[in-house]
Amino acid sequence: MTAATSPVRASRPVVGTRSPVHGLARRSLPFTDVVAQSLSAVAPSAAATTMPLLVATVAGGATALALAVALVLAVAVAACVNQFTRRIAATGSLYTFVVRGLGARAGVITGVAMLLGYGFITMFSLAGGGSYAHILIGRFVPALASGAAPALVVVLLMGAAVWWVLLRGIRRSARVTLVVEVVSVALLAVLVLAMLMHAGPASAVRAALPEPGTGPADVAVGTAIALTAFVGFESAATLGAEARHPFRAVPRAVTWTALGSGLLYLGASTSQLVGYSGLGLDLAGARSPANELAAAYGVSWAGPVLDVGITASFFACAIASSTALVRVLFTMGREGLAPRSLGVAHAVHGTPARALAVTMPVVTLVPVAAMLLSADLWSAMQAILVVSAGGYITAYVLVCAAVPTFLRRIGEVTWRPVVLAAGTATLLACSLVVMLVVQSDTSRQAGVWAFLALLAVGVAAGLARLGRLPRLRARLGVHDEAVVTDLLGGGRADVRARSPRSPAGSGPSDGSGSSGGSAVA
Amino acid sequence: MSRPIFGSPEAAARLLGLADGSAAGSADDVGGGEADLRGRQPRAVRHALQVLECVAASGAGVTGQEISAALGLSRATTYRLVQVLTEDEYLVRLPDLRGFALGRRVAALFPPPAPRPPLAARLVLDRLRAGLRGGIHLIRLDGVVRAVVDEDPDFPLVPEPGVREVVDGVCGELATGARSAARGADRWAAFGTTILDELGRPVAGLVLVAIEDRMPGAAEVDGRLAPAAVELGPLLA
Repeated sequence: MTAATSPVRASRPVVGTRSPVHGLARRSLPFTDVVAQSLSAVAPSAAATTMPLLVATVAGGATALALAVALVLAVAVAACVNQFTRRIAATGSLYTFVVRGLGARAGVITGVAMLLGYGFITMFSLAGGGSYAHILIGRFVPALASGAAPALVVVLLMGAAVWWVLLRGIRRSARVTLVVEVVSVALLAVLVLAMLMHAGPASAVRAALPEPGTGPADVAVGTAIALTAFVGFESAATLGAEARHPFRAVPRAVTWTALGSGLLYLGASTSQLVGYSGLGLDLAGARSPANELAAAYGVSWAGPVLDVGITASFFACAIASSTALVRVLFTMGREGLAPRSLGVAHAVHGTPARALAVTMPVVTLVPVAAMLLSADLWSAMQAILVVSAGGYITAYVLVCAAVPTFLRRIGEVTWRPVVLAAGTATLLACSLVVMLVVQSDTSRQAGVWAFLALLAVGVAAGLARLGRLPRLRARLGVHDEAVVTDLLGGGRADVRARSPRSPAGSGPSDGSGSSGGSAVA
Repeated sequence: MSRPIFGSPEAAARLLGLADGSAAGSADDVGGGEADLRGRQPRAVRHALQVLECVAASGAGVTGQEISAALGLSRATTYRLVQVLTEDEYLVRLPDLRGFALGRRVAALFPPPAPRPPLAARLVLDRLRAGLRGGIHLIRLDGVVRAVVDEDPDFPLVPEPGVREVVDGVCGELATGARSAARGADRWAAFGTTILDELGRPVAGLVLVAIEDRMPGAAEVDGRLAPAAVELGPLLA
């Protein structure tokens, strides 16, 4: 044993035999599955086809510049998030990180913001998948083209499918999402490249450069909108406990996803700008750029193919976002911030089953209700997206702000990450305010008010629970800890036999922070 | 006691955690092509090993700051090194998030020595050695490396050309499950018999090494070694 041969240190923490998040399939996911999680949560192909248009309507001639600024900002956020992912293997992602950095109260705000972000993006992608699938069905079966019923059925089916995939195990869900997302990104990349080759590099550069007369205000607003296309890249951080080499796989997945999807967006927006200027039109006046461009350039078959890709991308996004959503809830359940039963893992599949059973009906039925109640589904979806983006960016601001204090707490502070974090937090906070102000002037203002109201209610409920249960504060921030079998001399003699789970049911309970629901019921 | 001298490529690979890719996750290890060590890389390697030594010497719970102070490295460099070693699980960050301990992966660098054979087995070997001229060695085949666990005290393995070749060759063949094997190189000859466990997997080898012209006939050697191997099976498996 290590203890026998080394001098004993006074401040040595006790290492348990079970991780506080025991019950999940610990250390089982290879790198590809971790990347799949982040990639699918961003849903780059769906965002790349729809987002340049949204940016163009507010940023005008500075579309590509605004996207480039957003890309830099997203990579900076990724770097800040990775200050945590390199050190903590968490299932609560940013929520856990902020608790560790800024304390329980800021953590509660982050947690609520993330639940809004993940939850509403899941609703958005289920509704989006339903409506795109409806368009597709309409192309082949014209009798079903009108009426809301087919889309409703698709949403319900997709919700059920997401539930099943998530319950059966994280491996399966990651594989499904990776295949789906890679196929749709590849489709889109081919179209983008074809368009750029067709136009030639010179005109592509000309289209990407900002037009004269666009001011910094246009860029700022455009950047704030463009940021919403990146959200979700951090969601690999929810797989910290389940990734096989979490401290290597998760940071890479986060950075690569932010960078890769940003480059795809730049390419897509440039090709759309080139395409529209080639037609003598303005992108800001378009309705469905990808379909219109495909039709105008004589590849109208690409429209339906793209629709398949976008439907698939929405489905992948629903899987990935709800994967992250239930893991945040699971963490809160383990800690006692949310009802404890949410922290129960499935005995066989090692998935957060109880949290799934609570969330999936909600995130499926809300879009169904929105479809039934709203005359214009698309505007309802955009309002939902505003709520989600508000939640994500709030959480990003807080996680960047938490970096300096976290590094100081663990005694590993250096100036570089601190400067980066402070700068990023400031810029992000500005763009959050800009985004909310801009959106509150549009048809999507319902989203702004819903976001503020839900955030206030959630935070109030969380803080009230913290105030009622004073001991809860010390319990927040549960993450996957090193267990005895991870240490030299702690496990069995066979050093290479790595069991997917730590031995269950042996040894003492795992310390203060984790006496949540037992996995083996 | 044990001498891990009979190295083989796959033993080295196992040592580095490369062989059983299912456990080590070889898919994650595709970090670009092979690059030469150049510039400041040799120093970084040395520093990384010093960090491991420092954690081993200070005991579990040593913090990044303490490592940096102990080694005289800059804090940024130390945190980066600690980070790389934690990514690869040579170091483990303890639950307080400040302290570090050596990870189980380090254990692969320090394989546990093969245990001394029990007295019953040594008595069998003594009887066998009394009846045959030549060095009779017991070599474990089921460990991280193939290692001599009981060397003939009267005829030790001499570092002469040919000895390593014949013993490596015989052990390699025995490890694949052959019942017996024979080799010759330079003026040395070796004959080995496999000791099996109850499932028929090779556990160890009994190897007779002698100068070629003093080697008894194959039939005689086999007639002595085979019953001893059967006797040793339950004692070693």
